[in-house]
Amino acid sequence: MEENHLLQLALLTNDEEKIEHAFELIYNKYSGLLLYISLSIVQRREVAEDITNDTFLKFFNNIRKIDYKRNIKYWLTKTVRNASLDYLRLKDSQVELNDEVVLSIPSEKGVDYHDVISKFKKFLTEEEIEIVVLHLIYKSTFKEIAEEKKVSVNVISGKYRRSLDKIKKHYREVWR
Amino acid sequence: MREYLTKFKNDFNGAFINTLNYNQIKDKVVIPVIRKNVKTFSLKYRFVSMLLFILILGGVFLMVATNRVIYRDGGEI
Repeated sequence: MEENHLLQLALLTNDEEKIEHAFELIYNKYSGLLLYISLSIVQRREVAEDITNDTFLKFFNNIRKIDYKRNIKYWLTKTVRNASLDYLRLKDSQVELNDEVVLSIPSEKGVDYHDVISKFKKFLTEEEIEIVVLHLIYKSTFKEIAEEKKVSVNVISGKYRRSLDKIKKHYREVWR
Repeated sequence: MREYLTKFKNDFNGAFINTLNYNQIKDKVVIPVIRKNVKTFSLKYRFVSMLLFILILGGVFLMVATNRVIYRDGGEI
């Protein structure tokens, strides 16, 4: 919420430098999270990067029009998720015979996400990975994750606790 | 537990690299600066009206609390 306050102050002062500083701060704080969310949906880094940057541009260039008062993070994550799903829908609706070939070409920077996931998939489910990453790495609250997934907070916190047990068990075995 | 979580974090951050940078979109960002600064006046106006409202509310509260009634004919019963 700190960046929300900073952004509103910058917009009130109407100072170009302050506004740009607030934009940069927001970008640096949330670009990793948005990239992760988009990548987990579209599975291709170049596409995820484009969607993430487009989301930020949409936010910055319409800052005085859009309603983000509730939470900047909420607005950004919701928008990037919808944009990624829209991309998938559009891609599915097009008949692409060459698509399999395109997908099979390894991306220069794109192997990292799949590396992480395949490593964690050995002891966690995809949903558990997402919950742990969102909460542990990107500091999303259980409430925020629950809202996104449309389940109760208790369900998320329960899954998180079970995931932690699995993580503990996994690393204990690795270190033994 | 903390050491396991730190290991998990390190494993994630070591593999998942965020290559995005604000400079990539900087040229496309339009900084929304309003040339005519109308907001300052409207804020002042809002502040004054809130202050007035609080004063009136305080006056009413004091009158009720002290049980004082002001009559139109100069206070004579």
